[in-house]
Amino acid sequence: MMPIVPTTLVRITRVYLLTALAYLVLTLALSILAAASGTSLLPALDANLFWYIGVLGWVSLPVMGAFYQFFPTLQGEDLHAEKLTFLQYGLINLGILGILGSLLIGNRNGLGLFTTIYALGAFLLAFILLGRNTIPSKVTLSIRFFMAAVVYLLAGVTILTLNNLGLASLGRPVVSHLLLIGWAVMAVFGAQYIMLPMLQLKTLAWESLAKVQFFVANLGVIGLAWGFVRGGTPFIAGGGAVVFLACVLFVAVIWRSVTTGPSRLPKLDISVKFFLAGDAHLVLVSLLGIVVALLSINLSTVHMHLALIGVLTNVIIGAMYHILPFLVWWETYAGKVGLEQVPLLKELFNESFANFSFYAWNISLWVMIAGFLFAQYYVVAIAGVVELILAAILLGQMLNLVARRKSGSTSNQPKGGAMNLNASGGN
Amino acid sequence: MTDKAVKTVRIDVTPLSPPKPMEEVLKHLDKLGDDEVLEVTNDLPFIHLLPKLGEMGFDHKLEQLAEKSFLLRLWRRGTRNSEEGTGSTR
Repeated sequence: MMPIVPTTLVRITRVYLLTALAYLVLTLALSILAAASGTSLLPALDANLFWYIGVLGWVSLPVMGAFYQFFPTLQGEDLHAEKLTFLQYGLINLGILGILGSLLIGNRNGLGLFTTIYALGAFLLAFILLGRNTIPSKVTLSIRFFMAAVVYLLAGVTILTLNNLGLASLGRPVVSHLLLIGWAVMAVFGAQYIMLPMLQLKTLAWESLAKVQFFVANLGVIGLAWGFVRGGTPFIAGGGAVVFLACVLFVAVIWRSVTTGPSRLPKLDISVKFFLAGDAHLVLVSLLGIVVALLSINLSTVHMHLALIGVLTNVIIGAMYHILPFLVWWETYAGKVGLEQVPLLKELFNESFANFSFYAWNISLWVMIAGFLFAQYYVVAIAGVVELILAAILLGQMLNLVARRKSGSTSNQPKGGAMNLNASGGN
Repeated sequence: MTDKAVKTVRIDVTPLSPPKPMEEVLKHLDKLGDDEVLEVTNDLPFIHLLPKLGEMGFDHKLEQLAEKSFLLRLWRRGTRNSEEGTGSTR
């Protein structure tokens, strides 16, 4: 019998997820300042600040980190070109921090330069994933979604770079939709098709429909992007309607998968809970997008916050509650399989707090939405403070989890529910 | 339970791509009797399944046989089926 040796591919994923949480804290802090500035308590902040940190940092980094885990795992390979991932991580973060600094001092040249650096990081990501870690014969449905997502990331950051260098003026909406729907939501589709059955111990239902949904989603993203670039309202509304259809099909597949077949776990996995909340918001956000396109009512802010927090934050936090504990579990305990008792995955984090935070995130989101709808910005700021506290606690918990990964031993394991990976008998 | 012969159910999920190996294991676990042990071979070490098995009420033993060859043995918690069974294959 050979010892089980943990792989090294997990390193960059862990770094990406923790950095992303730091950007979430920063995004929320900036958002609170922005909301407070609406009450004239503070000088108005450049609204671009939290768009950049939120979209390029909080949303994009977990996707990048997760892709470094998903691509090799789903194809049964080790991560190739791992050294390049650290350079890629460096470019992305240099880009984000440089953009932040440039916006704070109002330097347009700096904004163009650092957006270019971020774009270089995105292209390096594409090279590592598509050029070095994709095997055509092993491309599954989820990997197809991920490949499409990477292409939309490149499109989005290219347009953003051209805009910021003054070489094009294609506007922010096309970039937002390419990055949030094309890049992030396509990643969500692919990730949930593989993660949700795995986490809830179910089988993916209506797989053929999921394959159709891939094409519908791409058609919608392309239609939307064309609408924002040149096509105008008919294409925006039409593309939005196709995206809405893709979201409905996706939710149907996910819901069917969760509700059919044997229930092998006593309750919903905490990550699945967050995913389902994100999926419900996804349908709402895509429907609201059509309303915003067709009617002249200003719900763009509500649309954006529901997308960033309702959809993406729910899904990303849900994914983090699996990926980070899993990576720590694998790195710490894989070599101990068969030698000593190791804890259950859910014993690596505070499940009670995770459940509490699920409700706190979603209630505070809707309080925030109410604040926007009724122009009560102090309510928005209060909800933002709640979310900032939740994000800071989550960051602290995950840092603590990662810090103790190498010190895992049976002496500090929980007594109850410990799993013997090499049990020689019952219990 | 020690008086009874333990049956071994063997499956090989190596040719399948994720998530099919897990689905195949789960399908067989649903049908696994108290006097049976499920033996699964794969080229990957079942890393996403392992942390969930305790929650499902199964004990297990994982061995790496070669660089890309893993053997996972599973049985219902509370039974004493850890040793080799009679080798029947479902």
